[in-house]
Amino acid sequence: MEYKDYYKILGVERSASADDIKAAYRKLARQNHPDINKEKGAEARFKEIAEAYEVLKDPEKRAAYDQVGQGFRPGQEFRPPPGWDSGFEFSGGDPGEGQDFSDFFESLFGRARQGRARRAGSAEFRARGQDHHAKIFIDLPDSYQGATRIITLRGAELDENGQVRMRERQVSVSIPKGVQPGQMIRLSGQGSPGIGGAAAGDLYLEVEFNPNSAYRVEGKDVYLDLPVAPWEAALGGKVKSPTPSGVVDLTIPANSGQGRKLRLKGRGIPAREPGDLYVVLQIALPPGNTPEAQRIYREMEQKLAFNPRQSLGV
Amino acid sequence: MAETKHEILTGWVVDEFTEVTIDDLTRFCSVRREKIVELVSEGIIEPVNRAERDWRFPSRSLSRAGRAVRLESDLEINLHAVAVILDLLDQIDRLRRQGPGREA
Repeated sequence: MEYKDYYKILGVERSASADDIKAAYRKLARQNHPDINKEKGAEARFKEIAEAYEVLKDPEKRAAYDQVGQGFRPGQEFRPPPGWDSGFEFSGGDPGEGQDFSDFFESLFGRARQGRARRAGSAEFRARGQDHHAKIFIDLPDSYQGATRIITLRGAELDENGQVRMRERQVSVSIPKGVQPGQMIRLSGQGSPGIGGAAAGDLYLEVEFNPNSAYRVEGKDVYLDLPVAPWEAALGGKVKSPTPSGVVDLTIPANSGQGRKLRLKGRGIPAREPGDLYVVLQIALPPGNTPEAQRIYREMEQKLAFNPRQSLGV
Repeated sequence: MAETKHEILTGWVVDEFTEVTIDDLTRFCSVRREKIVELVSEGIIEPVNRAERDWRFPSRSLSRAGRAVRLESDLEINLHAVAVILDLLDQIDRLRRQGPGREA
């Protein structure tokens, strides 16, 4: 496991005061919070920042971290010395069960969690298991046809001795037809097991779509940019168009302009009330690199009174 | 639970026709009931009916409440500031959808 330099992650000196640490965390948290910053990598950065703050904001954990981490550099192979934590009792600041911190963190501070779980398990007490959350990435055709995906879930579970352990499990999940980006699939009883015979929690899968080079999805409507020749747009007629549910013949109205939207009703995502598919015409220009093409362009120049910059007044 | 490699789990889609209860929200967000009541009084989520005893919420309240609770604790800010952030994020979403080349 790699040593993590929590001071470096927060961008503060090892001698930083509690106020400096708080200020540095708050600024970085605002900038990188995955609910605010949709950039790739923000979530991973935020996790590191939150983990660093979890340790450095707590005087007991910070002292323990300072003592054990002396002389290590970030990324260096790390192994806590045997019995290193015997002098420490972590009283507060126990991260929630849902928090997913690094192995490095778990090796140093995981003990506090186990103690709590044991206490909870030994008492005569019933509690419904926690809900779990995960993201699942699917492709647009999966939403049109339905699909099955194998996903790996990582979560804390109680073992037979009442100890909390992180474990991975694989499950197959059926992706229902008609699911939209941002929607959730709810799987009853697939969250944490309940305590004292109470029901298990649920698992919520938040659905995201992998980017698709041809289509973009907004809610349950789907957009496609369809290249057409200038004469197809001008004269109208039938052209072939791909759609997520197969190729269709599309009638282009005569005198269509660049960017004209043609709506194919009900051919968006097949939800309970299906979305629409919008085909957006993109006029493609034939290259003028042959004498014949140049002759035709010249003829158009001479015979069509066309000024594309009329609206700009020149 | 045992390995479920061969079993196919089937859930249901939480779509715009689904309503959720206050219990669904407390479990989804891992918070106590009072926190959900706070979110309602701050106008962050809105029940579809008035009687608090059997409040029901539109399904999008799940992710909105989850976001609100995360922002409150992760950014160490109050729910009033959270509400402002959520409204601004909604506005960014709307503007992005109406952005160049995407107008209706």
